[in-house]
Amino acid sequence: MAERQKSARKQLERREFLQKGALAGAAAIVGGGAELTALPADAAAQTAPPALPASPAPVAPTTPIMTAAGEAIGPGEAQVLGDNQRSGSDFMVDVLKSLGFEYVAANPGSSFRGLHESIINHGGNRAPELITCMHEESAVAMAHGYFKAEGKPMLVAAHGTVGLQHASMALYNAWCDRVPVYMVIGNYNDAAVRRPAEWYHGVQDAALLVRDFTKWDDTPWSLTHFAESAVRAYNVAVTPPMAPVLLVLDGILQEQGVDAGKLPAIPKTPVPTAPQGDTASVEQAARMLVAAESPVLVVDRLARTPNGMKLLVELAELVGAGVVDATSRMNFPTRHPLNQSMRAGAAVGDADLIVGLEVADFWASVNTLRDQLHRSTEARTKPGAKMITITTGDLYVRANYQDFRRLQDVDLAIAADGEATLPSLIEAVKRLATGDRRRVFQERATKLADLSRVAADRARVNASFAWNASPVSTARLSAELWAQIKNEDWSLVSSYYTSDLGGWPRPASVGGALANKKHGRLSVAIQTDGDLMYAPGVLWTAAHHRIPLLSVMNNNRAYHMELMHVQRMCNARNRSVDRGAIGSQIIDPNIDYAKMAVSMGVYAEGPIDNPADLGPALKRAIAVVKRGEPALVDVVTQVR
Amino acid sequence: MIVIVVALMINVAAQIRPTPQAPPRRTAPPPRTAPPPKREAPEPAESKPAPAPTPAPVQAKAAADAAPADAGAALYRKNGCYECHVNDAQGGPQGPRLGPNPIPFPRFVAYVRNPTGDMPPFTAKVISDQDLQSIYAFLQSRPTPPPVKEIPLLAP
Repeated sequence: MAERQKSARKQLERREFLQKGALAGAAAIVGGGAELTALPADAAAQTAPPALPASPAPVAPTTPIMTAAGEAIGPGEAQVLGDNQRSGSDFMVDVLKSLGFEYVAANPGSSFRGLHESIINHGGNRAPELITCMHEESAVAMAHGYFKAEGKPMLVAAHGTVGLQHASMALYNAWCDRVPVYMVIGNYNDAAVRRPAEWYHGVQDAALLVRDFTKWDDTPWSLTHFAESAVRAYNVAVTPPMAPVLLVLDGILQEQGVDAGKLPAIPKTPVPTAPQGDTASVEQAARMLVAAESPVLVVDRLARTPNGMKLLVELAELVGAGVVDATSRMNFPTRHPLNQSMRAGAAVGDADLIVGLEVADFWASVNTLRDQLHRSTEARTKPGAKMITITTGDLYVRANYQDFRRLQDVDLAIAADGEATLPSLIEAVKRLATGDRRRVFQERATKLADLSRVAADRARVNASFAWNASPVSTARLSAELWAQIKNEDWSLVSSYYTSDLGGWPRPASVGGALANKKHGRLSVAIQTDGDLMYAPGVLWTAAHHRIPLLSVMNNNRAYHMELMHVQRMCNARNRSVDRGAIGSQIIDPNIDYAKMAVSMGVYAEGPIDNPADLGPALKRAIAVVKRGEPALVDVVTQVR
Repeated sequence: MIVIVVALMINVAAQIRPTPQAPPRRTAPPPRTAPPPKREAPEPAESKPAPAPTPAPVQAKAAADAAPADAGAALYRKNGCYECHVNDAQGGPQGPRLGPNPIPFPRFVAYVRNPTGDMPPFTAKVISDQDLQSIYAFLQSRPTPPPVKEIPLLAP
């Protein structure tokens, strides 16, 4: 240790000398001796530069120059890790590999340079493989989308100050969606060595910035501490209710060498199981379900795994209950006869029992809010309707950043994971359902199938209006797309209802497509225009990493949701309703998204405003995607 | 987990989500910021729920009213009707279809002035009855689509 400190001091002195020499030289060039006096006397004497000819006019400072005195200094001590040493970040990569990360999304940053180098050299740039991102917001959103397609977290690395600031919005989005993004950031706090701060931009409590919307964070000060916190963070993140986690990796801890034989052990703690509802409450819920005449299952973040969907199908078919899916997860087949999502309001209104399964905002499922100057609410449900909720949302609530609304009165609230509780609920229903009740369930299912068929037929009629209009109607866009993908193994990685948001869908869809790549799925995104412009560099990321993704632009040339909000304000204030679009349109000039995509190496066509041109363009783009590359079709659409 | 949402239904899905929360901002979380759906409370839509072949007299009337309809098209856009009822008045997630068979004109005006659903009110101060008449002509002039069965892409 003493030797290392001595070497470090020698290196420091040489660096100081060179800096001062360069400063002195530059000062002489700029203004003669006046600036020299600002230097300490010993430095000025030590670095007195050779006399320079007087300059007739001030010259702008140039890059530091090597002085004669500097040239005279001998070579410094070469500092490299010995063969029997590993860097701290090598060990960090070993730990991260043990957690099974496939990818690490990052925009490079100096504070995690140690980890970066360990990932590509020690780790061989495999599991995790670096995905080069052009914005930290994109990196986190990619991890968000990846989880929703793959069901496991992606690693994200970022710079501790500005990188995390860029990432914060996307972390908030992931938190709101209860998605476990696993994030590490670098920071030079130097606490392990306790020298004065050397890194110009550091932060004392880096995680503070996002602590309100992450589930847990830690700042390990030793490799043992890191190993335990890394495994703990993973388990915390993926145990329902899931949410992002953050580890702050000290720069020195990453870069210091450690004897290879003295590395700490990597913990093998398994991921905790998800909490199930207690037996008595599940039995009570089953009794209520069996007794109900018109139950409806409202689902939102229910299916954590593909098995979640199978269980929900089994329960719905067992009791002949309609399902209303808010689609935050892939919960229920959209074309299942019991899917009542297209007549959700009526289904909830008709129900005598509403069962909320992992519904983020249950109040909003059973009430409406009228958005006028004086807001009013109204129950969607009929009087006397019973309500049950099963959700891990009851286990986790935060104070500052909130994501809940009014408190809904319910008859039974089970604080447990929905998917984990379904097997025991199904078994209890099977035990309690008599033959008579099962006949009732079957008749009910037949009626619900008829109602969903009528709703689908009505949807087709609605879609026929403005069928040949230009710009292209969103229904026409969807139908043309469906015609091209319906026989493929397709995966919709972002869509109309999730795309009117700033900066999330585009990178999230690339993350989803990255997850789908190894499964050979055709990833499809319906991409809105305003969203794409927050961080369009992710197009380059998709091209660079050969991520196959078909992006079909729903380009309505506006931030249309906001436009409607401003219009509402004009009306409420009874003035200038013709000016509501100011500030929310993306016109004059129109953005050429196809050209932008092409500039980043993405195959692209458009803008297309004639619906007849859309089908052939989609076919060509899909051929590109099937070759393993991204493609974009810019479609100018109607506003909704 | 494959995300399999039937894109076909995008323009018509009536979601369970309630309405307008506090203005969903661009930074709000994806799942919770889906566009506010139309309320269950009926807004004035077409007088007929499903399209019917346009009778000859209506077609003749549409031709005769071409000028007001053209003016109405501009007013429909200028006053922001298109924002929810969409460019061709075909309706969307935020507002019902309005043409080609709108509800009777007096009811239309009454609703625009004093809506009972989520539609913002348009008083006489911000839009005149005359302009509403032009917009009404535009709604009447909307083309009737071909029957669904003649559109192969809409086959079940």
